[in-house]
Amino acid sequence: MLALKRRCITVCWALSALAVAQSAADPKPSSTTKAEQKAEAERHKTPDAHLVRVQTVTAVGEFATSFFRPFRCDDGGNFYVRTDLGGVEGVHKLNSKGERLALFEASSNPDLKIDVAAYFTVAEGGELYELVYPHEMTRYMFVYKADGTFKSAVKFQTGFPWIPKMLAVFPTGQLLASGEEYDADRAAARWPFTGIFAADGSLLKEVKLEDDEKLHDMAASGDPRVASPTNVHSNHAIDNGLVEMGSDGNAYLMRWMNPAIFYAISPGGEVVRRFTVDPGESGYRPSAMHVNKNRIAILFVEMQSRNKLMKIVDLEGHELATYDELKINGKAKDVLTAAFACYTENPTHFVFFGADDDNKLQFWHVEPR
Amino acid sequence: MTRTRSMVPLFLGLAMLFVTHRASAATCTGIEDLGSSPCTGAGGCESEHEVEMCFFGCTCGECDRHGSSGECCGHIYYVPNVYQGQGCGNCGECGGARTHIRSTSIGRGVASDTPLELRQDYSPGLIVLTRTLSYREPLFVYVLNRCDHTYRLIAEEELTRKTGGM
Repeated sequence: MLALKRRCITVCWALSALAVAQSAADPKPSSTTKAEQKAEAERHKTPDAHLVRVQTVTAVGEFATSFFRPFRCDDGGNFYVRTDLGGVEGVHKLNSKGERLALFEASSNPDLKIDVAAYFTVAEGGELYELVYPHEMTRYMFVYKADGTFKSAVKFQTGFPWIPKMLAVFPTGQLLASGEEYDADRAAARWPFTGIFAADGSLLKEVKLEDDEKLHDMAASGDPRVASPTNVHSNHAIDNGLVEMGSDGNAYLMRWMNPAIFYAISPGGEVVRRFTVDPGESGYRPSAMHVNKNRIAILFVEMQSRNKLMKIVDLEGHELATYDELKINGKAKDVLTAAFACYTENPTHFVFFGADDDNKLQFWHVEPR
Repeated sequence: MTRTRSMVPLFLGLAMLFVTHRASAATCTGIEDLGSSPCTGAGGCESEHEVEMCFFGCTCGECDRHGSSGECCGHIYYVPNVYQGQGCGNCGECGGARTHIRSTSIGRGVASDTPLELRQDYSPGLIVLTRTLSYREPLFVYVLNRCDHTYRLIAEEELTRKTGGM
Protein backbone atom coordinates (compact mmCIF):
# COMPACT_ATOMS: atom_id res chain seq x y z
CA MET A 1 0.00 0.00 0.00
CA LEU A 2 1.15 3.45 -0.77
CA ALA A 3 0.99 5.78 2.14
CA LEU A 4 -0.42 8.97 0.68
CA LYS A 5 -0.09 10.94 3.82
CA ARG A 6 2.73 10.58 6.26
CA ARG A 7 3.39 13.21 8.73
CA CYS A 8 5.37 14.17 11.72
CA ILE A 9 2.72 16.02 13.52
CA THR A 10 4.59 17.66 16.29
CA VAL A 11 7.20 19.13 13.99
CA CYS A 12 4.67 20.23 11.41
CA TRP A 13 2.49 21.89 14.00
CA ALA A 14 5.51 23.71 15.37
CA LEU A 15 6.50 24.80 11.87
CA SER A 16 2.99 25.98 11.23
CA ALA A 17 2.97 27.94 14.44
CA LEU A 18 6.28 29.52 13.49
CA ALA A 19 5.03 30.37 10.05
CA VAL A 20 1.91 32.14 11.15
CA ALA A 21 3.99 34.52 13.21
CA GLN A 22 4.38 36.62 10.11
CA SER A 23 3.10 39.94 9.01
CA ALA A 24 -0.56 40.81 8.75
CA ALA A 25 -2.45 40.01 5.57
CA ASP A 26 -4.51 43.13 5.51
CA PRO A 27 -2.33 46.20 5.17
CA LYS A 28 -3.35 49.52 6.62
CA PRO A 29 -4.90 51.98 4.20
CA SER A 30 -2.24 54.06 2.54
CA SER A 31 -3.96 57.25 3.66
CA THR A 32 -3.00 56.57 7.29
CA THR A 33 0.09 58.50 8.33
CA LYS A 34 3.00 56.87 10.11
CA ALA A 35 2.23 58.87 13.24
CA GLU A 36 -1.34 57.64 13.18
CA GLN A 37 -0.18 54.08 12.65
CA LYS A 38 2.22 54.36 15.57
CA ALA A 39 -0.49 55.78 17.80
CA GLU A 40 -2.82 53.00 16.69
CA ALA A 41 -0.17 50.38 17.43
CA GLU A 42 0.45 51.85 20.87
CA ARG A 43 -3.25 51.83 21.56
CA HIS A 44 -3.41 48.15 20.63
CA LYS A 45 -0.64 47.40 23.10
CA THR A 46 -2.28 49.12 26.04
CA PRO A 47 -4.91 46.92 27.65
CA ASP A 48 -7.80 48.44 29.52
CA ALA A 49 -7.73 45.72 32.18
CA HIS A 50 -6.52 42.20 32.91
CA LEU A 51 -8.46 38.98 32.61
CA VAL A 52 -8.80 37.43 36.05
CA ARG A 53 -10.42 34.12 36.90
CA VAL A 54 -13.09 34.82 39.49
CA GLN A 55 -14.75 31.42 39.78
CA THR A 56 -14.12 27.80 38.82
CA VAL A 57 -16.92 25.28 38.43
CA THR A 58 -16.02 21.61 38.03
CA ALA A 59 -18.51 19.50 36.12
CA VAL A 60 -19.48 16.16 37.60
CA GLY A 61 -18.98 13.23 35.28
CA GLU A 62 -17.70 15.30 32.34
CA PHE A 63 -14.11 14.96 31.19
CA ALA A 64 -12.01 16.75 28.63
CA THR A 65 -8.49 17.05 27.34
CA SER A 66 -9.33 18.70 24.03
CA PHE A 67 -12.15 21.02 23.06
CA PHE A 68 -13.60 21.10 19.58
CA ARG A 69 -14.84 24.33 18.09
CA PRO A 70 -17.27 25.95 18.22
CA PHE A 71 -17.87 26.75 21.88
CA ARG A 72 -21.39 27.79 22.73
CA CYS A 73 -23.62 28.97 25.53
CA ASP A 74 -27.21 30.17 25.60
CA ASP A 75 -29.23 32.84 27.36
CA GLY A 76 -30.25 30.33 30.01
CA GLY A 77 -26.68 29.94 31.24
CA ASN A 78 -26.19 26.54 29.62
CA PHE A 79 -23.01 25.46 27.87
CA TYR A 80 -22.59 23.28 24.80
CA VAL A 81 -19.35 21.35 24.48
CA ARG A 82 -17.96 18.60 22.32
CA THR A 83 -14.95 17.05 23.99
CA ASP A 84 -12.73 14.06 23.42
CA LEU A 85 -13.30 12.11 26.60
CA GLY A 86 -16.05 10.81 28.79
CA GLY A 87 -17.19 7.95 26.63
CA VAL A 88 -20.25 9.72 25.29
CA GLU A 89 -19.89 11.24 21.84
CA GLY A 90 -21.91 14.20 20.69
CA VAL A 91 -22.57 17.71 21.86
CA HIS A 92 -23.14 17.86 25.59
CA LYS A 93 -25.54 20.48 26.92
CA LEU A 94 -24.58 21.32 30.47
CA ASN A 95 -26.11 23.67 32.99
CA SER A 96 -24.05 26.21 34.90
CA LYS A 97 -23.15 23.55 37.49
CA GLY A 98 -21.87 21.20 34.83
CA GLU A 99 -24.81 18.82 35.03
CA ARG A 100 -25.74 17.27 31.71
CA LEU A 101 -29.14 18.35 30.47
CA ALA A 102 -29.10 16.89 26.98
CA LEU A 103 -26.97 15.04 24.47
CA PHE A 104 -27.07 15.76 20.75
CA GLU A 105 -25.87 12.71 18.80
CA ALA A 106 -25.67 12.49 15.04
CA SER A 107 -25.92 8.74 15.36
CA SER A 108 -29.46 9.15 16.65
CA ASN A 109 -30.54 9.25 13.01
CA PRO A 110 -30.11 5.62 11.91
CA ASP A 111 -30.75 6.38 8.23
CA LEU A 112 -27.26 7.64 7.50
CA LYS A 113 -23.80 6.28 8.15
CA ILE A 114 -22.01 9.26 9.65
CA ASP A 115 -18.33 9.97 9.08
CA VAL A 116 -18.14 13.12 11.16
CA ALA A 117 -20.39 15.63 12.89
CA ALA A 118 -18.77 18.98 13.50
CA TYR A 119 -19.81 22.63 13.63
CA PHE A 120 -23.03 23.44 15.39
CA THR A 121 -25.07 26.40 16.47
CA VAL A 122 -27.90 26.91 18.93
CA ALA A 123 -30.90 28.95 17.81
CA GLU A 124 -33.37 30.85 19.92
CA GLY A 125 -35.62 28.33 21.57
CA GLY A 126 -32.77 25.92 22.12
CA GLU A 127 -32.87 23.96 18.88
CA LEU A 128 -29.41 22.81 17.86
CA TYR A 129 -28.25 22.76 14.24
CA GLU A 130 -25.25 20.63 13.38
CA LEU A 131 -23.19 20.08 10.23
CA VAL A 132 -23.08 16.36 9.52
CA TYR A 133 -20.99 14.48 6.98
CA PRO A 134 -22.33 11.03 6.08
CA HIS A 135 -20.27 8.63 3.99
CA GLU A 136 -21.41 10.24 0.77
CA MET A 137 -20.67 13.47 -1.04
CA THR A 138 -23.93 15.10 0.02
CA ARG A 139 -23.63 17.33 3.07
CA TYR A 140 -26.31 17.58 5.70
CA MET A 141 -27.49 19.63 8.59
CA PHE A 142 -29.18 17.84 11.47
CA VAL A 143 -31.71 19.68 13.58
CA TYR A 144 -32.32 18.63 17.19
CA LYS A 145 -34.91 19.73 19.71
CA ALA A 146 -33.65 21.41 22.86
CA ASP A 147 -33.83 18.13 24.77
CA GLY A 148 -31.47 16.45 22.31
CA THR A 149 -34.14 14.61 20.36
CA PHE A 150 -33.36 14.29 16.67
CA LYS A 151 -35.80 16.38 14.67
CA SER A 152 -34.82 16.44 11.00
CA ALA A 153 -32.06 16.03 8.44
CA VAL A 154 -31.62 18.78 5.88
CA LYS A 155 -29.67 18.11 2.70
CA PHE A 156 -27.62 21.01 1.33
CA GLN A 157 -28.55 21.33 -2.32
CA THR A 158 -25.69 23.15 -3.96
CA GLY A 159 -25.40 21.07 -7.11
CA PHE A 160 -21.64 20.83 -6.75
CA PRO A 161 -19.34 19.17 -4.22
CA TRP A 162 -18.33 21.22 -1.23
CA ILE A 163 -17.61 20.96 2.46
CA PRO A 164 -19.47 23.30 4.80
CA LYS A 165 -17.32 24.36 7.72
CA MET A 166 -19.54 26.77 9.63
CA LEU A 167 -23.20 27.50 10.05
CA ALA A 168 -25.55 30.19 11.33
CA VAL A 169 -29.34 30.26 11.49
CA PHE A 170 -31.15 33.54 10.93
CA PRO A 171 -34.23 34.28 13.04
CA THR A 172 -36.09 34.37 9.72
CA GLY A 173 -35.29 30.71 9.16
CA GLN A 174 -32.68 30.98 6.43
CA LEU A 175 -29.28 29.40 6.93
CA LEU A 176 -25.85 30.76 6.25
CA ALA A 177 -23.23 28.12 5.59
CA SER A 178 -19.64 28.75 4.64
CA GLY A 179 -16.96 26.30 3.65
CA GLU A 180 -14.89 25.13 0.75
CA GLU A 181 -15.91 24.09 -2.73
CA TYR A 182 -13.98 21.48 -4.69
CA ASP A 183 -11.96 22.61 -7.65
CA ALA A 184 -12.43 20.68 -10.88
CA ASP A 185 -8.82 19.67 -10.35
CA ARG A 186 -9.02 17.39 -7.34
CA ALA A 187 -5.45 18.13 -6.35
CA ALA A 188 -5.92 21.88 -6.40
CA ALA A 189 -6.72 24.15 -3.50
CA ARG A 190 -10.41 24.47 -2.85
CA TRP A 191 -12.46 27.62 -3.21
CA PRO A 192 -14.14 29.41 -0.35
CA PHE A 193 -17.88 29.21 -0.71
CA THR A 194 -20.59 30.93 1.29
CA GLY A 195 -24.28 30.57 0.63
CA ILE A 196 -27.69 31.48 1.95
CA PHE A 197 -29.92 28.43 2.11
CA ALA A 198 -33.61 27.98 2.71
CA ALA A 199 -34.66 25.89 5.69
CA ASP A 200 -35.09 22.93 3.34
CA GLY A 201 -31.45 23.18 2.23
CA SER A 202 -32.02 24.69 -1.20
CA LEU A 203 -29.44 27.27 -2.20
CA LEU A 204 -30.98 30.72 -2.36
CA LYS A 205 -27.94 32.85 -3.02
CA GLU A 206 -24.19 32.55 -3.26
CA VAL A 207 -22.44 35.20 -1.19
CA LYS A 208 -19.26 36.64 -2.62
CA LEU A 209 -16.86 37.75 0.10
CA GLU A 210 -14.24 40.29 -0.77
CA ASP A 211 -11.19 38.42 0.45
CA ASP A 212 -12.06 34.92 -0.68
CA GLU A 213 -10.07 34.84 -3.89
CA LYS A 214 -7.06 36.18 -2.06
CA LEU A 215 -7.47 33.56 0.67
CA HIS A 216 -7.76 30.87 -1.99
CA ASP A 217 -4.61 32.10 -3.71
CA MET A 218 -2.73 32.17 -0.42
CA ALA A 219 -3.61 28.55 0.22
CA ALA A 220 -2.89 27.57 -3.37
CA SER A 221 0.57 29.07 -3.18
CA GLY A 222 1.30 27.38 0.14
CA ASP A 223 1.36 30.60 2.12
CA PRO A 224 2.04 29.39 5.68
CA ARG A 225 -0.38 31.92 7.12
CA VAL A 226 -3.28 29.82 5.85
CA ALA A 227 -1.88 26.63 4.30
CA SER A 228 -1.26 23.41 6.15
CA PRO A 229 2.14 21.76 5.78
CA THR A 230 0.43 18.36 5.78
CA ASN A 231 -2.88 18.84 3.93
CA VAL A 232 -2.92 20.57 0.56
CA HIS A 233 -6.66 21.14 0.79
CA SER A 234 -6.56 22.97 4.08
CA ASN A 235 -7.14 26.65 4.34
CA HIS A 236 -6.83 27.69 7.95
CA ALA A 237 -8.50 31.03 7.26
CA ILE A 238 -11.67 29.08 6.46
CA ASP A 239 -11.23 25.99 8.66
CA ASN A 240 -10.70 28.02 11.82
CA GLY A 241 -13.34 30.59 10.95
CA LEU A 242 -16.48 31.16 12.96
CA VAL A 243 -19.89 32.71 12.51
CA GLU A 244 -22.50 33.94 14.99
CA MET A 245 -25.71 35.89 14.82
CA GLY A 246 -25.82 39.55 15.85
CA SER A 247 -28.67 41.36 17.53
CA ASP A 248 -29.22 43.32 14.32
CA GLY A 249 -30.32 40.18 12.49
CA ASN A 250 -27.11 39.84 10.52
CA ALA A 251 -24.67 36.96 10.70
CA TYR A 252 -21.10 37.89 11.64
CA LEU A 253 -18.65 35.66 9.84
CA MET A 254 -14.99 35.74 10.84
CA ARG A 255 -12.01 34.61 8.80
CA TRP A 256 -9.01 33.36 10.78
CA MET A 257 -6.54 36.04 9.83
CA ASN A 258 -4.48 38.75 11.40
CA PRO A 259 -6.18 41.18 11.52
CA ALA A 260 -9.33 39.13 11.90
CA ILE A 261 -11.68 39.77 8.98
CA PHE A 262 -15.39 40.11 9.69
CA TYR A 263 -18.35 40.25 7.33
CA ALA A 264 -21.84 41.21 8.40
CA ILE A 265 -24.20 39.27 6.15
CA SER A 266 -27.95 39.82 5.95
CA PRO A 267 -30.53 37.01 5.67
CA GLY A 268 -30.86 37.96 2.01
CA GLY A 269 -27.18 37.38 1.41
CA GLU A 270 -26.07 40.99 1.21
CA VAL A 271 -22.66 41.79 2.68
CA VAL A 272 -23.74 44.69 4.84
CA ARG A 273 -20.23 45.57 5.93
CA ARG A 274 -16.70 44.30 6.21
CA PHE A 275 -14.29 45.26 8.95
CA THR A 276 -11.14 44.00 10.55
CA VAL A 277 -10.05 43.68 14.15
CA ASP A 278 -6.34 44.11 14.72
CA PRO A 279 -4.64 42.50 17.72
CA GLY A 280 -1.71 44.84 17.20
CA GLU A 281 0.97 42.19 16.89
CA SER A 282 1.59 39.83 14.03
CA GLY A 283 1.86 36.58 15.98
CA TYR A 284 -1.71 36.58 17.23
CA ARG A 285 -4.60 34.74 15.62
CA PRO A 286 -8.33 34.92 16.45
CA SER A 287 -8.95 31.76 18.40
CA ALA A 288 -12.61 32.23 19.26
CA MET A 289 -15.27 34.90 19.09
CA HIS A 290 -18.74 35.49 20.45
CA VAL A 291 -21.41 38.01 19.67
CA ASN A 292 -23.50 39.32 22.54
CA LYS A 293 -26.22 41.80 21.62
CA ASN A 294 -24.33 44.58 19.83
CA ARG A 295 -20.85 43.58 20.93
CA ILE A 296 -18.29 41.11 19.64
CA ALA A 297 -15.56 39.62 21.83
CA ILE A 298 -12.58 38.16 20.00
CA LEU A 299 -9.95 36.10 21.79
CA PHE A 300 -6.57 36.37 20.10
CA VAL A 301 -3.87 33.85 20.99
CA GLU A 302 -0.19 34.31 20.25
CA MET A 303 0.85 31.08 18.62
CA GLN A 304 4.28 30.80 20.22
CA SER A 305 3.92 32.18 23.71
CA ARG A 306 0.22 31.28 24.08
CA ASN A 307 -0.36 34.82 25.37
CA LYS A 308 -3.95 35.90 25.06
CA LEU A 309 -5.66 39.14 24.22
CA MET A 310 -9.38 39.84 24.31
CA LYS A 311 -10.77 42.57 22.06
CA ILE A 312 -14.28 43.94 22.38
CA VAL A 313 -15.73 45.73 19.35
CA ASP A 314 -19.16 46.90 18.32
CA LEU A 315 -20.99 45.49 15.33
CA GLU A 316 -19.23 47.96 13.06
CA GLY A 317 -15.80 46.95 14.24
CA HIS A 318 -15.05 49.94 16.45
CA GLU A 319 -12.80 48.92 19.30
CA LEU A 320 -14.28 49.38 22.74
CA ALA A 321 -11.91 47.52 25.06
CA THR A 322 -8.79 45.38 25.17
CA TYR A 323 -7.98 42.93 27.94
CA ASP A 324 -4.89 40.83 28.48
CA GLU A 325 -3.77 38.25 31.01
CA LEU A 326 -2.53 39.43 34.38
CA LYS A 327 1.12 38.49 34.60
CA ILE A 328 3.37 38.17 37.60
CA ASN A 329 7.09 37.95 36.92
CA GLY A 330 6.32 37.44 33.27
CA LYS A 331 3.99 34.50 33.79
CA ALA A 332 0.22 34.58 33.47
CA LYS A 333 -1.42 34.50 36.89
CA ASP A 334 -4.45 32.66 35.56
CA VAL A 335 -3.57 30.52 32.57
CA LEU A 336 -6.57 30.62 30.25
CA THR A 337 -7.31 28.17 27.49
CA ALA A 338 -8.19 29.06 23.93
CA ALA A 339 -11.59 27.45 24.54
CA PHE A 340 -13.44 30.73 25.00
CA ALA A 341 -16.99 29.54 25.53
CA CYS A 342 -19.22 32.41 26.50
CA TYR A 343 -19.42 36.20 26.58
CA THR A 344 -21.95 38.42 28.32
CA GLU A 345 -22.10 42.12 29.12
CA ASN A 346 -23.38 44.24 32.02
CA PRO A 347 -21.12 43.27 33.63
CA THR A 348 -18.47 42.05 31.20
CA HIS A 349 -18.06 38.36 31.85
CA PHE A 350 -16.33 35.53 30.02
CA VAL A 351 -16.38 31.76 30.48
CA PHE A 352 -13.61 29.47 29.30
CA PHE A 353 -13.62 25.69 29.13
CA GLY A 354 -10.77 24.09 31.04
CA ALA A 355 -9.96 20.97 33.01
CA ASP A 356 -8.36 20.07 36.29
CA ASP A 357 -5.37 17.75 36.67
CA ASP A 358 -7.76 14.77 36.63
CA ASN A 359 -9.20 15.90 33.27
CA LYS A 360 -12.53 16.87 34.81
CA LEU A 361 -14.23 19.53 32.71
CA GLN A 362 -14.28 22.96 34.30
CA PHE A 363 -15.93 26.29 33.59
CA TRP A 364 -13.54 29.13 34.26
CA HIS A 365 -15.42 32.38 34.91
CA VAL A 366 -13.27 35.35 34.00
CA GLU A 367 -13.75 39.09 34.36
CA PRO A 368 -11.68 42.14 33.53
CA ARG A 369 -10.10 43.69 36.62
CA MET B 1 -16.73 13.61 16.07
CA THR B 2 -14.88 10.41 16.61
CA ARG B 3 -12.34 10.39 19.39
CA THR B 4 -10.14 8.16 21.36
CA ARG B 5 -10.98 7.45 24.95
CA SER B 6 -7.61 6.75 26.36
CA MET B 7 -3.98 6.23 25.66
CA VAL B 8 -2.98 2.69 24.87
CA PRO B 9 0.45 1.09 24.92
CA LEU B 10 2.26 1.74 21.71
CA PHE B 11 2.73 -1.87 20.69
CA LEU B 12 -0.91 -2.66 21.23
CA GLY B 13 -1.93 0.40 19.27
CA LEU B 14 0.28 -0.52 16.35
CA ALA B 15 -1.07 -4.05 16.31
CA MET B 16 -4.63 -2.78 16.35
CA LEU B 17 -3.91 -0.31 13.59
CA PHE B 18 -2.44 -3.06 11.44
CA VAL B 19 -5.43 -5.28 11.92
CA THR B 20 -7.86 -2.45 11.27
CA HIS B 21 -5.92 -1.37 8.23
CA ARG B 22 -5.90 -4.80 6.66
CA ALA B 23 -9.52 -5.47 7.48
CA SER B 24 -11.06 -2.34 6.04
CA ALA B 25 -12.19 -2.11 2.41
CA ALA B 26 -11.29 0.53 -0.12
CA THR B 27 -13.85 3.27 -0.54
CA CYS B 28 -14.04 6.82 -1.81
CA THR B 29 -12.32 8.63 0.96
CA GLY B 30 -10.34 11.68 1.95
CA ILE B 31 -9.10 13.68 4.89
CA GLU B 32 -10.57 16.95 6.01
CA ASP B 33 -9.15 19.62 8.25
CA LEU B 34 -11.65 20.79 10.84
CA GLY B 35 -9.52 23.52 12.35
CA SER B 36 -7.57 23.47 15.55
CA SER B 37 -8.57 22.23 18.97
CA PRO B 38 -7.35 23.65 22.28
CA CYS B 39 -6.13 21.12 24.80
CA THR B 40 -5.28 21.25 28.48
CA GLY B 41 -3.15 19.20 30.79
CA ALA B 42 -1.68 18.90 34.20
CA GLY B 43 0.27 21.77 35.68
CA GLY B 44 -1.59 24.42 33.74
CA CYS B 45 -0.49 23.18 30.34
CA GLU B 46 -2.45 24.77 27.49
CA SER B 47 -1.89 24.26 23.78
CA GLU B 48 -3.63 23.44 20.48
CA HIS B 49 -3.52 20.80 17.80
CA GLU B 50 -5.05 20.41 14.36
CA VAL B 51 -8.14 18.24 13.94
CA GLU B 52 -8.28 16.08 10.84
CA MET B 53 -10.88 13.42 10.12
CA CYS B 54 -11.62 10.68 7.58
CA PHE B 55 -14.30 11.85 5.18
CA PHE B 56 -16.04 10.60 2.11
CA GLY B 57 -13.79 11.95 -0.63
CA CYS B 58 -12.29 11.64 -4.06
CA THR B 59 -9.53 9.11 -3.39
CA CYS B 60 -10.12 5.40 -3.73
CA GLY B 61 -8.46 3.93 -0.70
CA GLU B 62 -8.60 3.21 2.97
CA CYS B 63 -8.61 5.92 5.58
CA ASP B 64 -7.00 4.92 8.83
CA ARG B 65 -8.27 7.35 11.42
CA HIS B 66 -5.41 6.42 13.74
CA GLY B 67 -2.77 6.71 11.05
CA SER B 68 -0.46 9.00 12.94
CA SER B 69 -0.41 10.43 16.40
CA GLY B 70 0.77 13.49 18.21
CA GLU B 71 0.80 14.81 21.72
CA CYS B 72 -0.91 17.86 23.14
CA CYS B 73 -0.27 18.67 26.81
CA GLY B 74 0.62 15.06 27.44
CA HIS B 75 -2.46 13.65 25.74
CA ILE B 76 -2.22 11.61 22.57
CA TYR B 77 -4.37 12.59 19.64
CA TYR B 78 -4.65 10.89 16.27
CA VAL B 79 -4.77 12.08 12.70
CA PRO B 80 -5.74 9.92 9.73
CA ASN B 81 -3.69 8.52 6.90
CA VAL B 82 -5.11 7.48 3.53
CA TYR B 83 -3.77 4.41 1.77
CA GLN B 84 -4.45 4.10 -1.92
CA GLY B 85 -6.75 1.25 -2.88
CA GLN B 86 -8.74 -0.22 -5.73
CA GLY B 87 -12.22 -1.36 -6.54
CA CYS B 88 -14.38 1.59 -5.63
CA GLY B 89 -15.09 3.00 -9.07
CA ASN B 90 -13.83 6.41 -10.02
CA CYS B 91 -15.05 8.21 -6.91
CA GLY B 92 -16.31 10.52 -9.59
CA GLU B 93 -18.72 12.68 -7.68
CA CYS B 94 -15.85 15.06 -7.10
CA GLY B 95 -15.77 15.53 -10.87
CA GLY B 96 -18.94 17.59 -10.70
CA ALA B 97 -17.04 20.57 -9.41
CA ARG B 98 -17.66 23.95 -10.95
CA THR B 99 -15.05 25.69 -13.03
CA HIS B 100 -14.28 28.93 -11.31
CA ILE B 101 -14.28 32.21 -13.07
CA ARG B 102 -12.22 34.78 -11.27
CA SER B 103 -14.08 37.95 -10.46
CA THR B 104 -10.88 39.92 -10.74
CA SER B 105 -8.25 39.85 -13.42
CA ILE B 106 -5.33 39.60 -11.02
CA GLY B 107 -2.92 36.72 -11.23
CA ARG B 108 -2.78 33.76 -8.89
CA GLY B 109 0.18 35.08 -6.93
CA VAL B 110 -0.26 36.24 -3.39
CA ALA B 111 1.68 39.37 -4.19
CA SER B 112 -1.13 40.58 -6.45
CA ASP B 113 -3.23 41.73 -3.57
CA THR B 114 -4.25 45.16 -4.76
CA PRO B 115 -8.03 45.43 -4.67
CA LEU B 116 -9.57 46.21 -7.99
CA GLU B 117 -11.21 49.27 -6.47
CA LEU B 118 -7.82 50.87 -6.00
CA ARG B 119 -6.83 50.65 -9.63
CA GLN B 120 -8.23 53.90 -10.77
CA ASP B 121 -8.59 54.52 -14.47
CA TYR B 122 -7.02 51.22 -15.45
CA SER B 123 -9.26 48.22 -15.79
CA PRO B 124 -7.93 45.54 -18.10
CA GLY B 125 -10.64 43.67 -19.93
CA LEU B 126 -13.36 46.10 -18.98
CA ILE B 127 -15.33 48.52 -21.08
CA VAL B 128 -15.22 51.89 -19.35
CA LEU B 129 -18.63 53.49 -19.00
CA THR B 130 -17.63 56.33 -16.70
CA ARG B 131 -14.50 57.09 -14.72
CA THR B 132 -15.65 54.87 -11.91
CA LEU B 133 -17.94 52.40 -13.60
CA SER B 134 -16.94 49.73 -16.09
CA TYR B 135 -18.76 47.01 -17.93
CA ARG B 136 -17.49 43.56 -18.65
CA GLU B 137 -19.10 41.32 -21.18
CA PRO B 138 -20.57 38.27 -19.50
CA LEU B 139 -18.38 35.24 -19.75
CA PHE B 140 -20.10 31.95 -20.54
CA VAL B 141 -18.40 28.66 -19.89
CA TYR B 142 -19.63 25.15 -20.52
CA VAL B 143 -18.56 22.70 -17.86
CA LEU B 144 -18.63 18.96 -18.35
CA ASN B 145 -20.51 17.01 -15.71
CA ARG B 146 -18.58 13.77 -15.59
CA CYS B 147 -21.37 11.91 -13.86
CA ASP B 148 -24.14 12.27 -16.44
CA HIS B 149 -21.90 13.34 -19.34
CA THR B 150 -23.76 16.56 -19.93
CA TYR B 151 -22.57 20.10 -20.17
CA ARG B 152 -23.74 22.82 -17.87
CA LEU B 153 -23.70 26.49 -18.79
CA ILE B 154 -22.16 28.79 -16.24
CA ALA B 155 -22.45 32.51 -16.73
CA GLU B 156 -20.69 35.23 -14.88
CA GLU B 157 -23.11 37.30 -12.86
CA GLU B 158 -21.76 40.79 -12.37
CA LEU B 159 -21.71 42.89 -15.46
CA THR B 160 -20.86 46.32 -14.14
CA ARG B 161 -18.11 47.12 -11.75
CA LYS B 162 -17.01 50.16 -9.84
CA THR B 163 -13.35 50.57 -10.67
CA GLY B 164 -12.15 53.47 -8.58
CA GLY B 165 -12.69 57.06 -7.62
CA MET B 166 -15.13 58.32 -5.06
